[in-house]
Amino acid sequence: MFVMTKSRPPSPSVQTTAPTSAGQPAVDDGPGAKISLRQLSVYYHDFRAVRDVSLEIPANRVTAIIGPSGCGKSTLLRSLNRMTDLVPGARTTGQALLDGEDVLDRSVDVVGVRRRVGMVFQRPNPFPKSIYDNVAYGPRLYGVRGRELDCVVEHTLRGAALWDEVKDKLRQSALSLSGGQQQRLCIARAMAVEPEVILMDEPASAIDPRGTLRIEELITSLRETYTIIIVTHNMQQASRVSDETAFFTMDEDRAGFLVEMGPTGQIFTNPRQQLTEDYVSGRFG
Amino acid sequence: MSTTSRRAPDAWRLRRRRIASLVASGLAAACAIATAIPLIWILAYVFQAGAPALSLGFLTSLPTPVGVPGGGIANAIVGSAITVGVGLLVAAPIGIAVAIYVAANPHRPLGIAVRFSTDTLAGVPSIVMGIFVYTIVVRPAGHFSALAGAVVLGIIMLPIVIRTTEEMIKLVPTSLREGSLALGAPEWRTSIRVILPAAASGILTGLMLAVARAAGEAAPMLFTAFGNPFFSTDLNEPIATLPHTIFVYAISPYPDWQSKAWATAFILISLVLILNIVARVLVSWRTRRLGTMAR
Amino acid sequence: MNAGARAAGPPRRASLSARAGVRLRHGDRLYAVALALASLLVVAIVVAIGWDLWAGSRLSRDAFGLEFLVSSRWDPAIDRVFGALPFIQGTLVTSFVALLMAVPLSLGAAVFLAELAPGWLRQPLSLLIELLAAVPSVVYGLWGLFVLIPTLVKPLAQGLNGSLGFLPIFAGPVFGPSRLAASVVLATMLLPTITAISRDVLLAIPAAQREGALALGATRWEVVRQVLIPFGASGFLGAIILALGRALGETIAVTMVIGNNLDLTPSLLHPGYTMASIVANEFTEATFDLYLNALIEIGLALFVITLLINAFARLLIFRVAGGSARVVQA
Repeated sequence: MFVMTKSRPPSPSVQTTAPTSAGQPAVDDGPGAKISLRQLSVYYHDFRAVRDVSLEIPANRVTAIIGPSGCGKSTLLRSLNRMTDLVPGARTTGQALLDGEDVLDRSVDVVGVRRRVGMVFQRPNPFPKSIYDNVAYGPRLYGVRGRELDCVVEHTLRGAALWDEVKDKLRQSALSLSGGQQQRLCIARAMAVEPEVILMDEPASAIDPRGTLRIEELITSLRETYTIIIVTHNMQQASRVSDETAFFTMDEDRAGFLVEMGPTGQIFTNPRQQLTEDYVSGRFG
Repeated sequence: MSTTSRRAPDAWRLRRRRIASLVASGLAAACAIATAIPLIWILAYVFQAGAPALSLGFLTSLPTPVGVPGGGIANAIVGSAITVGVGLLVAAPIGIAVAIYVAANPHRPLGIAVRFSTDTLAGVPSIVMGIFVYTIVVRPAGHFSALAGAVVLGIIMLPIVIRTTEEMIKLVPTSLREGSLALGAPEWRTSIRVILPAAASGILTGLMLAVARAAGEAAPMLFTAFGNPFFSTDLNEPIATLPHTIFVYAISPYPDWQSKAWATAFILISLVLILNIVARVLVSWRTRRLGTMAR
Repeated sequence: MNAGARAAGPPRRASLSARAGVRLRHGDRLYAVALALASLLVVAIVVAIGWDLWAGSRLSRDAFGLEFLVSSRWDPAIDRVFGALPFIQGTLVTSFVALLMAVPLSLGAAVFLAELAPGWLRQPLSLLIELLAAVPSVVYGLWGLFVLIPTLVKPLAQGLNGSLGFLPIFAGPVFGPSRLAASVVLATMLLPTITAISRDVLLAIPAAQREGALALGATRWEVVRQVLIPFGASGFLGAIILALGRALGETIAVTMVIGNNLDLTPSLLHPGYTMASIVANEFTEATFDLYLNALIEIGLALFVITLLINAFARLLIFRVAGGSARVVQA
């Protein structure tokens, strides 16, 4: 099904030597860490939504972030491509290293970060334009035009397993699609700019079960090409689609923190922490 | 399509896009500043040209003929107060009642008709309302009158009162209304004892905005209140108002009168702006309070 | 419910509660009737205005028919012939030129206020622009007459006449009070209207649209140009048309700066007249019925135009809200 072959230069982080630039603490990034969080905290004014998170997101894997609502998992996700910049009063401390470069640094170009780290939102948010124009939006920003653009759109839609469903109505409004199709279109739209990481914020929470299944299949098929981080409140979904799972919860002061992270199978069957066990077995949250 | 060919020109393309974004933002900022300049310019000039002619005597004495020193706008201040006040007395209860009706019955035919009528009324030029009131009040009576001026201002105020009140009533949490109804209180008691008090400061805001708007209307006064150089509080007599006085003084050829126009404008604009600012403060205070109530 | 209580309960208490119920329900019915009557009154006022203007202009409509709208002879003194063309032309020209000046500025300002301005600047700047909308039109007229005309309009008119005087619309001689002066004052008055509504239209666009584009690496300006402006287009159009309605009906400020001249010339630099200002100037001087009827007919025309314009504008602005609601639901 997934026929798209990408000529992508190998991501430096996939190499076994961790790219730690000079001056940074010598934390072991582990093999293939795409994103490394170092003591990341996110504040809204005085309120700390995320506290001191340090973890490694492996490249070309699906990492799920689970936890009770309000534990800051969406906030954490949004800070990774600086969508938190849009919230007045939001600020971050600590580092989020993407291939060793801190994307939270004020001097880093936010537009460039967002190109490398794409995002899919909780509710499908296609632009009220044609299906074609939605996928083409990103590539057009980067100057792709004409026949080449047609190719990119087709490749991307094929990659998103949406091509057969929409190839005859590319010029129709994206709003004419079903909710699940719209969400897969939004995933395709994110893929079209060839990001390295795709953040997904509860991508199936507003979608019916059948649509959810298609989205999950799509996520699984994309793991070879992209590093995917998915926030979900649905533990079955996390266990179905992810390789790694990070469990977050919050303190009395409502600041979210990382309890533990590990291979998905281990988190769901044999967690190290009591808090995690309580949560995955349904005794909490 | 190869990735590298698309990545290579990224750097300069990105720079170009960022510069375009900066330039556009700069232009938009310039537009915003240009849009704000007239207010500052007007205020500065009204203050500069109006303040010298201002005195306590100006507020408390009557107009004098050209060339006679002194003179003031006491008649216009009282006239504006009377026409706006009487207009408000008519417009406020009707407007609030209409707003309660529309908020409760937005989809009934009458509700839809009222909404459309309100919007239309808000868009009808005030000079046209002046014609209307001239033919229904002035012509039958055979003379211009403060009452006609009050009626016109009442009609001008109506849509403003209706709209703001309706918005504020819709902000009142339904739980509050249901709470009262569940206790067995009838609809009318719920409206008057529960919903209106909860929306009170918002309604007050609407009334203030309506007053501010009506107090500045000159055009319809030309052939309703008409103007009067003497002191009058009689609803059946022509009466002077502040905006009409500004108009008459401004288009006169006498520098003395023109400077009085500025001084009168100073009074009027202070009144209007203070009403507007207080109304806005009330609104923000109000929305915050209702917000916590809803939670 | 009360009827049931009456039947089931003990007689004495039942009659008490029944009486209270009747009284309260009676109140409810009265209350509902009162509200409905007040609402009917509002509808009646609008209908009455229309009817009144229609009936009040009968003599003029009978005498001149449609000729009234295309004839340029306004002669109340000798021949008693009335044609409204100079006023219609003046109203259309000044409103159009005012929009031409105000629209780009206001849209830019709205974009800045809603999307680009730093947070601390939005509130104060919004307040300034909203207060501009509160300034009474007679004060605009005063400012236009004594400040704007000498400092801005007249030099501008001379410059236009000097460089582009060969064009009929910039033909001399140059006057202070003129159609151009009226247009500039009108434009100033329209700025806050268009800015405020367009800003609200922008703010009503779902945040998901912005985020979607930003997450693809769009710059703020690209978001505005490619996503927000197309999304809000009909809302902006609505704002502009609403402003047009204001411009067509604006009276006092225009009357003070347009020069009140019946000449039907194409030049912007020439004094002119508008529909609203002829009514303002001559209504109390209309010494015979036909004259008054002709002025009322101008009022009727203004009423009909503003009625249509408001309906259309609100439909457009409403469609944006409806459109965004559809997207959220989808």
